[in-house]
Amino acid sequence: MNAIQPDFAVLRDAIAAFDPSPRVEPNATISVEEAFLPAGHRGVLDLRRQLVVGNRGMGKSFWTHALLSGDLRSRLAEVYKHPQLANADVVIGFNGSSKESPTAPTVDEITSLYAGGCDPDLIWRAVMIRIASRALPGKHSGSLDGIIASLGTDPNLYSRILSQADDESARTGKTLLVVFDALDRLGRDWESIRQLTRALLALAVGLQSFRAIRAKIFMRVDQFADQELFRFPDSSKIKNDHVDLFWRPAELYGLLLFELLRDPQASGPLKELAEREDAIAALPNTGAQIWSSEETQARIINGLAGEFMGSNKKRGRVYSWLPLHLSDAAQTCSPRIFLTAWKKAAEHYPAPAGRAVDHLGLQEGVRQASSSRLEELYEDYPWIQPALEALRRQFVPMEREQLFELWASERVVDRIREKAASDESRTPVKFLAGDEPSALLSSMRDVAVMEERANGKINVPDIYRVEAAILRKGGVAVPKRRG
Amino acid sequence: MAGPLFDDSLAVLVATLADLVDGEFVEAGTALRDASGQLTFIAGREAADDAERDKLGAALIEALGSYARTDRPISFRGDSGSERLLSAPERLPVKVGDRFCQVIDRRIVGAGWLDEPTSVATDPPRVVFATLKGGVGRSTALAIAAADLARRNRNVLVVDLDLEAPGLGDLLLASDRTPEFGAIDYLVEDGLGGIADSDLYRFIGSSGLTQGGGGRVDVLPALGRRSNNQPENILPKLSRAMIEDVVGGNSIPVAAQISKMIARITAREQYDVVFIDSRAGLSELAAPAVLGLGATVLLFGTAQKQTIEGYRALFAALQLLAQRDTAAGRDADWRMMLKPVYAKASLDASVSERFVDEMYELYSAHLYDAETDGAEAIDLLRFARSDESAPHWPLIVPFSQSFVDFDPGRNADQLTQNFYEQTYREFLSGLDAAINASTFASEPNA
Repeated sequence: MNAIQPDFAVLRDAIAAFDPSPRVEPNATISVEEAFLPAGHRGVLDLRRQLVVGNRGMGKSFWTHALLSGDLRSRLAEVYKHPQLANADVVIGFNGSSKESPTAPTVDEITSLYAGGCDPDLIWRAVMIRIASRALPGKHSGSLDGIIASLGTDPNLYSRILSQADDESARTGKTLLVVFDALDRLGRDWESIRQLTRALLALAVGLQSFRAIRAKIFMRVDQFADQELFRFPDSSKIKNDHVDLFWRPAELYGLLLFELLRDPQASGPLKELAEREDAIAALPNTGAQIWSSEETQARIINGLAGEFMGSNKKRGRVYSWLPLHLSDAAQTCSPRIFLTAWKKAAEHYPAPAGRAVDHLGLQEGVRQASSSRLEELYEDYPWIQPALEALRRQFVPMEREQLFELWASERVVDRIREKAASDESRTPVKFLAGDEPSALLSSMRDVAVMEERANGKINVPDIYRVEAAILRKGGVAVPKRRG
Repeated sequence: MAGPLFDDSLAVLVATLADLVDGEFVEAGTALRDASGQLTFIAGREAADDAERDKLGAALIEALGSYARTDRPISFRGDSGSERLLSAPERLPVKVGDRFCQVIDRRIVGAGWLDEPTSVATDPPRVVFATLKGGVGRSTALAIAAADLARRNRNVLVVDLDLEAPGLGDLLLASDRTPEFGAIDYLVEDGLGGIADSDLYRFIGSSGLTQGGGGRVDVLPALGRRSNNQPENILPKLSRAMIEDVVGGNSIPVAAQISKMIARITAREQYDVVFIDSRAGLSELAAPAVLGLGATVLLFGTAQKQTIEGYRALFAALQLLAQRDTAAGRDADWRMMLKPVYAKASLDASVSERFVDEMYELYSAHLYDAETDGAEAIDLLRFARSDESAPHWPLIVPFSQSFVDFDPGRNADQLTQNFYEQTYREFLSGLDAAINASTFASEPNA
């Protein structure tokens, strides 16, 4: 059984060479070969479900761009068994880009229309008319103000154009799918972002009466948690079947194996390892997450990194320890962070014998990934930084009152406002409601950086706690190892 | 109650005619039983003379008593209307003694049980959850199966066809999720003005079992918000929902209407499977679901005698349909789609062994093909008793106290995997296999 000994040095080099891709930029393209397709993301491609909610790094922009690629879309339709997708005509409705496009308005276009007092509902209707009329005779291809003016004189314009486009799509067996992403760039203050987003959601609910026109709206978790956003009739119709974008541990490991298979040097040794462990079935050869048991997948991971986080099972199993220690309060971990932890583990010196990485490397990997994750979150939610820094060298879990006292003494709310300066979207959306400390805590929970325990105490998950130098309450004092 | 009763009547007719003419004469003709139960015989040849006509007619009136059609106990080929009856596709071959008699059974109530069953599997596959009696955990099993599939990223459409006692809508949809209309409205309106594609979404509610990180569970309830707001209309609508529609002179059976309703909804959105909650019992309303939807039919029941006897009545009726199909050269593969579910199962192995025995006896006696000495025996639909892949092999749902207050519509968190895993996994795996089997069957000549 152990006759084959895979070349772990090659596997280690391949892991160390990972280049976890940063944010997908607007208008980027994604090739079929580089796409890993987790089983749990099937709902994103369901045309019925128009709202997709995801935290930073879970793949909102990836899916936006994947949907736009014709080649990839055919493959998605096949792998995920959504045949209608293969015949979809996918168009960007908004993606926060500043580049002019014949369909999607730019950030400036939207903000100036809104600032000029234009009804958000009319703005989106105009966007939809411009997109829907591409395949129709007539001229609605110009600037949005022109179409908005026509809507003022011809109230039926929207339903007429969309019905025509719907009939046309249905006749040709196609679906028109309009994608909206980066909604946090719809404005520079939350009130206008909220108004525009709410109007967009209401418009999407109205699309349900069409056979072949659908929206796909990608939204951040903090925006989704804003109750005010869903205060319009029938909002439940889009909220009730929203998709949560996250990664399960087996999917993260699937991605790791997929990245190794894509490496021309590493794929051979990895297959040898899988063969040795009788786990060939767990290799995602095609990029599609195949359904094999977690035990099978775990055997390959054990081969790569050893079974335990130490010399025996008292320290826990690598397979479950790693996702657990990389997870936020929502019990999930972004794929980039997961790969970063492996990369750092493979760079850890000295290299272990008979495996690619060891538990010492993985511990170091988790610490580095933690720092990397915080950097990433600060970009989307700059208010997290002062909120966490106020807790430096404090113990969690802590009482709510104690947290609020710390925030008050460190002037956290003021500092968030000062830092945001003129760009109010850099404060938590829930600040709109007043009572900032409660709003801040609630927002910290929404983005899964803090959690409220059953006993009401506030906790910070390990992935954020370690890097922010927040201490965990414990009974047995342990001398510090880090040096 | 003098003279022959219902159960004797057909045998008396057959015996009388076989005595006076011969067996061949009986098999070539057709017996017509009218709505009240009275019998008339249509002979497969012309009458030899008026004397024969009078003799046989008098003999039938004498023998059948109140079960004879005294105005016309017998007619012959060549008489007006006889040709159509002698070749009617709805004729059922009924075995009386050692010979077959073709019977046309005219019913006012229960006619749905005489429609030709559908063997064609659908895409997406359909599964009917049916019972003869309530309270055996059918709806609970349906809800758990839907939740489990959604957890595994599948999209499920649940259709509540239990129009006379709707409950699934309430079980799966909190009141703010209930759609405007229900199946009852579809069946009423479809017969009149029709329903546009653009209105179909108003019949569908998104259940709380829909998972943000998994699949959808959509529900087409029996009753929508409109019915709940105007409850006085429910009974009048019900009586109009379950009737044949007449379109351009052709009547469309209820099963076909329901089947089309499901097909239209599943064509509009992506679904991986359709679950249909059916009326309990042998009533008219259960027939379309059991026979006409091309669905795998799960027959829930306990191991009690009443379950077995209820199944027997159902299966004996189905046996006639299978014989009619076979006589017409059809394969009657719909028999393969009936699956018993042993509900509220105990841990007592001897009880479940007995249940398998009884199911095997029932399937063998009524649904599986009779063994013959012929050379074509290879194609027969027959299974060994212990063949776990055979139709008669039951799915099992063990009894569990935990599910007594089950209410996932109010408390979706109740449905964590841990909660149902232990009790339901075996059932869920068996259901998966049944769904996959019907998916394969729908692939053309694969």
